[in-house]
Amino acid sequence: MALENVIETDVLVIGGGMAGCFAAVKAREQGGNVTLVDKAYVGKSGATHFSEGNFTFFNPTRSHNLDAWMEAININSEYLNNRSWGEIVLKDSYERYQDLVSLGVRFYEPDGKTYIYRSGVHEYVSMLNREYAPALRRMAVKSGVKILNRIIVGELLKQEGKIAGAVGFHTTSGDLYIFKAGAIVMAAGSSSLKSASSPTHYWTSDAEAMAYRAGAEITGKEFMWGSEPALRSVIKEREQADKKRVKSSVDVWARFPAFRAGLSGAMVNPVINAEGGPVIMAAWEAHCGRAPLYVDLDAFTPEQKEWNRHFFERMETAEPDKIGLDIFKGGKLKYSAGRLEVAQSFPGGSGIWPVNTKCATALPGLYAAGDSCATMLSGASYAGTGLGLCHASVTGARAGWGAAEYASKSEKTMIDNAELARLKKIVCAPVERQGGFSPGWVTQVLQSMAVPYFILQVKHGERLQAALVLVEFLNRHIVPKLMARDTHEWRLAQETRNMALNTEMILRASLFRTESRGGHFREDYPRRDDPAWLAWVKLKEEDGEMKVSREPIPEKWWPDLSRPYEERYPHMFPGE
Amino acid sequence: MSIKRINHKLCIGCGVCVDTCPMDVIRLDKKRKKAVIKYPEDCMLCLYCERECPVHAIYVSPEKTVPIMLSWG
Repeated sequence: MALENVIETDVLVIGGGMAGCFAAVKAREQGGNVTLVDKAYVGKSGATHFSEGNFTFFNPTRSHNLDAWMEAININSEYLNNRSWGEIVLKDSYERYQDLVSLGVRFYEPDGKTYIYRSGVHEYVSMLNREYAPALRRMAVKSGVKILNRIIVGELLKQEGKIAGAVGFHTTSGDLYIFKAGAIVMAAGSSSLKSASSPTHYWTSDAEAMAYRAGAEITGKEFMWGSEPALRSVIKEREQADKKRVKSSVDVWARFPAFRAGLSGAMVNPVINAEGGPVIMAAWEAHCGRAPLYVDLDAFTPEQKEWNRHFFERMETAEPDKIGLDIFKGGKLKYSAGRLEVAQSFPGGSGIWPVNTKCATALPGLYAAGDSCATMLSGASYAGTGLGLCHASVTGARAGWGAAEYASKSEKTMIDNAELARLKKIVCAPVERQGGFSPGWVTQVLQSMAVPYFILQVKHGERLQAALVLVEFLNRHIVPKLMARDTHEWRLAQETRNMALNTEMILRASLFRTESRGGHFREDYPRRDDPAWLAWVKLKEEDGEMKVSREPIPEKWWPDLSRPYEERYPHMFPGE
Repeated sequence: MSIKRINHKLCIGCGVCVDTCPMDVIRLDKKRKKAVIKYPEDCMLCLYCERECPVHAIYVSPEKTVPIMLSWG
């Protein structure tokens, strides 16, 4: 018989990565009780552990120039970045960097001192990726944060229009967890669709989905980070050829930097198509029958070689020689894992809309941080290496402070038992059903509707509409009948439900934006449309319907429209 | 999807792999004090467990096959 635990806390933080740990610690410093929950294990698993560890920090004493940094971000973001947030993140970043230093986090130090990378005008350092997540956990434990692992939160509890708590369960024991919280920081990461080419299956849009259902506004859903295809296929071929196991290949295939051919402009390393021609956009090459793609090892610039040399050196487990990967040898290397799939959103580029610089949302008492918080720092694209973790730490700290302040000032709301019972019923529905659909099957069906490259990467109004009809049906008819045979499947049911909602958000936002920009490419509208689409797309639930609206970008942030299009946008889309 | 085996001759039952798996694929068999692959279909091939296992008892294959899921039953 599963137990029901009731936990009262001033601040509840959902998600234990970079953003969540910073939020928890900074909230705790304000004196109240802080509880940090994660559906995996804080400091061991999850996205932070998986990241490369790059961290941008802005430091005027290193002659960093704020205007120059911002200008680079503006161009890469294709002018959809929120410049106020950009400046906040950059200005706060050095303090957060110092927090990490004081935690004892180690950085890549090839010659005994921290190596500072340059990416355009930006500079960033690289944390040792196996060490910094456990260090964040230690920081949280030391400061007196209560950590609960393997708890997935399913619904946010609202009372009189304000956040009052949350309902979740333990994915091993199946015990229910009722949280009564003064404020909640949502730091449960980004969204992906468990696609086979990207090991980011824990990102199931939990944050956005929960917040959306509770009435928050969501933005940035149309911008997709094209797949960052893995080297898995290379490894596998190699392994079969050698008839021996390739050890320690994780970072090689997963984080090999050459494999980022994003949409416009994000090309880091030289990639060519099957005919030896240039690649603007990986999915487009496949669309035209010119896949597989290759990394042209002969075309590496000295800077790119240097970058890669350092990369392999600092990722302790990367042993590229063992799998025949030698970027200094020349030749070409197969790029695509064979399925072009949508991975995730850009850091700070999609999620819950923050209404102020304390990361508060439209829902009183709900704060958002990290990839769950759509500050639109990176606008329509990924504006620079190292911004993701930097953004997570800055918004984490700010959300933590904001939530603690809110919780200390607001009176504790009495929980209405009828409302609590309603939410418990929703969360527990999958385990209480006698018949229904398995989450594994629903996820596969959803993937087959949305994951193929021609739905969410090379988009077209007709195809988006067709997918929307099916996904809507899924959300309305199938998802309410998700069934879980055990506690593990119960988690999957929550995730599937969130991913299905996420997909509908992506499709509606993508249909609404009738232009192409950054991580959003419409075959039927292949050009940027200034100034009509110098705007963000917002999604909100109203009377059970998903309402889409346009939030214009302040005119002072527009690009200089008197400059020719080609100068405003150095990267062309296919078909332009 | 990809995790293939945990060598029980080597496994010391420390539970590091259980904590390390973001997808709840591995569970600890408390009676036998061994880690067991409980939900292989949810393995996403991140290889954390293989990397973190102190005694190198885990093998994750690069295979990406996903079993056919049933809608019910």
